[in-house]
Amino acid sequence: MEQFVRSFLARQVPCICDHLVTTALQRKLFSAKQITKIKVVRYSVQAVSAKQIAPLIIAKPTTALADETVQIHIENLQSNQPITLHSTLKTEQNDIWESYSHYISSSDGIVQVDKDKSHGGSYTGCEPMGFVWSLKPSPGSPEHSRLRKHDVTVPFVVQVSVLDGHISEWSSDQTALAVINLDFWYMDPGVRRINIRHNGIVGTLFLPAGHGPFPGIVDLWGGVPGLIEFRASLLASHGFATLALAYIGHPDLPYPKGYLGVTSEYFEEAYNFLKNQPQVVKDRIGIIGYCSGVFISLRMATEMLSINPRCVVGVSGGHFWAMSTRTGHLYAFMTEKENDFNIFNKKNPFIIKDMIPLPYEPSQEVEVEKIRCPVLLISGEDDQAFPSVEASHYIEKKMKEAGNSHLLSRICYPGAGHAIQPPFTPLCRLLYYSFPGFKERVWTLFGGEEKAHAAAQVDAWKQILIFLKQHLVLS
Amino acid sequence: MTRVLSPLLAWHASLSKQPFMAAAMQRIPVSLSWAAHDRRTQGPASQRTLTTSQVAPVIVARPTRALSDDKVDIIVENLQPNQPVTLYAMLMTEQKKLFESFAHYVSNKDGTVQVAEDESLGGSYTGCEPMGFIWSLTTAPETPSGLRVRKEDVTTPFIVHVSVFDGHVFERSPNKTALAVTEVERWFMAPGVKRVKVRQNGIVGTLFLPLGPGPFPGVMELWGGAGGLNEFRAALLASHGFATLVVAYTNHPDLPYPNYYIGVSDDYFQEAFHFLQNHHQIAKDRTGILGHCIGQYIALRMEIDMPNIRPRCIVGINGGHYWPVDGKTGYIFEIITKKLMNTQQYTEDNPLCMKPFMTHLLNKPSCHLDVGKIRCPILLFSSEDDQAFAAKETSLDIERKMKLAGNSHLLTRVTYPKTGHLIEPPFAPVTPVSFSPIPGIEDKVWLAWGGEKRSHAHAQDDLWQRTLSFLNQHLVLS
Repeated sequence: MEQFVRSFLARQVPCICDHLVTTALQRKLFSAKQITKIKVVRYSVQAVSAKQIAPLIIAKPTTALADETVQIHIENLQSNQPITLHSTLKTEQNDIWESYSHYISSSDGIVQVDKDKSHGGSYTGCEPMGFVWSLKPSPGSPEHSRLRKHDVTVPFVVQVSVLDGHISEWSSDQTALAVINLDFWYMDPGVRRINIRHNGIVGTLFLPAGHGPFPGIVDLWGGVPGLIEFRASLLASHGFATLALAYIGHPDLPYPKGYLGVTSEYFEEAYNFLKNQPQVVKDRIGIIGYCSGVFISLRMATEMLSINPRCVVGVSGGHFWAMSTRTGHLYAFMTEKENDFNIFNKKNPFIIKDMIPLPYEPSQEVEVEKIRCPVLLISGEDDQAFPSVEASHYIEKKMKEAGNSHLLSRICYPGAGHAIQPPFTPLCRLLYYSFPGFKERVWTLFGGEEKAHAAAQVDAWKQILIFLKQHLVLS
Repeated sequence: MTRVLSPLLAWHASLSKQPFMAAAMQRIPVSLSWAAHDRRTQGPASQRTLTTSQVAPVIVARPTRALSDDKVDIIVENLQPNQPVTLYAMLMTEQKKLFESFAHYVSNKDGTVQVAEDESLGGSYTGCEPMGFIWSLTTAPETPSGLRVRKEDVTTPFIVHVSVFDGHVFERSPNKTALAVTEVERWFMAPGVKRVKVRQNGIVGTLFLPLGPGPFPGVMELWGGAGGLNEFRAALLASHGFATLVVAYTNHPDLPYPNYYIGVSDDYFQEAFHFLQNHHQIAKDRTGILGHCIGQYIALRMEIDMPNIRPRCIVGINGGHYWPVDGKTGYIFEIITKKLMNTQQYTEDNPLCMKPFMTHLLNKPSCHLDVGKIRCPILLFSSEDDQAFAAKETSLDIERKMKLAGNSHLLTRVTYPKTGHLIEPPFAPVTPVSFSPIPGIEDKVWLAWGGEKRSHAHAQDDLWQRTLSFLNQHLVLS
């Protein structure tokens, strides 16, 4: 009998059982009733064995579009265990970005990142996607750089680990309790990416799956060199045939870096190119611009009479740029005074906005009275790189005077900076930036408070998609 | 703006649910003209006039990339009101065979079809079946019928093309262009899951490890008599947190035996189980066994006859406590091929049922395993319409024997009506009949597996949920 009890219970709870059985045997608890009691005891004792199963991270989904929310639950922890959620990302430049957040498990040993509060680390409070937007370059990686997706055909992989205790710095003797990988994609399956080098146009066209026809969007970035594709690929994943258009600083454009050499014809050519695609509905094309791209978008809606955009979205920009002609060096207003830039450093960064008063050059402003289509302007109240809030006030005033202000909608986000990007992009508040034409890099302030900026990005994206759908699909 | 909140917009709206945003929104000076503009330009969708520049219908499938046991929510928008449309799904397998399904819907007055809520009026399935477009996939006309959908390379996804056609159609036609298309990726491995080829100590298998240091609960998986190494269920189990070793025991080029000959002995299975237990990332005392068909028999034999093997739990699907081989080694299908006369008589409409060839073994207790010796929790699934094996009757016999032996409290038995032999992970296309090889016979034969498609599909989903829950209960929580 003793043997039976031993082997029976040993099969059930190999770890803590010996002690129980020994005690039971000593008390001569051999009757069937007593054996049942022991079984019941087994279930109420939390098996704290040396062979405990590891904690488990459950993420839904593990593979997502970059603007989707991921729900993370961690189970099999101890009760009220302090743990750190450590997320890391290896960028395309092979730098490591990371974030730490401090949670405490419930009495059941569970942490629900979408419901629980972080008690410290890279963010506090209940922030379901904080583990992404609070990512920062880890020691050893270039500080104050931007996280941008260049190759949109492959995902960002964020590795999320659970560490014991509340820590804010990873050390090599630390072992994770559990790890999971999350894929964040900028393109849905079926979206097609097509390089466009045609009639002088330099761009990338993203087409949703199928024949369409689809509403179209021309996507313009700021005065950064190159071709930024990740917003266009996301928009295509939301059903818009989107042309990401380069207009400055691209090797395939025949102008020096920082020189805006393309004229109105270039933008009209690009717009008409999109319009003439068989998969695009000719009269349902909108324009979205960021930073100096807003200036160009508004020009397209007013000065370029051969095109007829159905709506315009402008993010962190305005109706003017610090140039006295339509073409020229985009940053001439700075390079003229390059020697004065020696005073700027990390603690006292350069604020571009201070050099761009409003109005700058009234004759160079876009005539907003001539806007004929709905416009949505989005700006951050802490934008230090461009007076986008002031510009949107000014535009509203002008449009009210002209009687077309019913076309304008504007949203100003408190605490948000210049770099309003698709959701969950880490805030770029301060950048050690290399302006075209400058010999040295300059510490430049873009602005924004992390939490407010993250929330603004999510809401701005939502508003943008609703606006685009409203005017390019539903109306 | 709330008036125009279609399901798509509602999904967009759900992007931001953070409490901070609510507070922030109150301080945002949104221009009053926004609301005015909204009222002026927007009317109810049903009153929209149809212009020539109308945007095409659009299919939104969420999620577009998911594990193959995840549900997909499909919404079709921008159709005309009350428009009859066909939801067409197409899959091209790695063997370059085409599978397709058709479902007939009618849009509502807003021109929307919500596959998760609307009823299909005809086609490959009827009624409200959110995932029917996948599990009803069958061979296209140009593909030889009787093929099964099987994922060979589990590191890549199945890509299912989903389109919408105007009207209710039953076949593809070159004259019809799709109104909208989308693609959905069905993955078998979650990001980070590792696939490790195992060829040591004579074991032929593949180990799938979740990401992280572990220790993980372990599962040893055994398939049926068709043999080979099917990795897709093991990959999925690893994606759910179980380190899984799928083991081949017959019909594999790396096993030194003729096709369909089981030459491996008890040692082979013990070696495999111990390999799993002793892996540094696997919790030694939290390993179980999952067996399908003949794999279930082997799982039971491991628990009953091999004292060194102590699984913490067992899951069996459509198998028994006996098998068609006389002794421990032999040809699996000899019991059938010995008595099989004319294979020409079997057709797609009149396929060969393997079940009757083995029913006499059910009544021969001398070749049964002693199920009274089972000492761990065991979950047995059996299909009532299993045409290849007397699964239900066999599981009843097991239950009877365990009751007599006094260990039936360990047994949970689940039967599925109208379900066939081949129960695979959820949403896998259902195959009631296939044209497959039987060893010893030169040509392929039409084989009956049984199962009415819809019930079988639901059974697959239910079995998977129960299996995961059972494994979780016994390998993780207890």
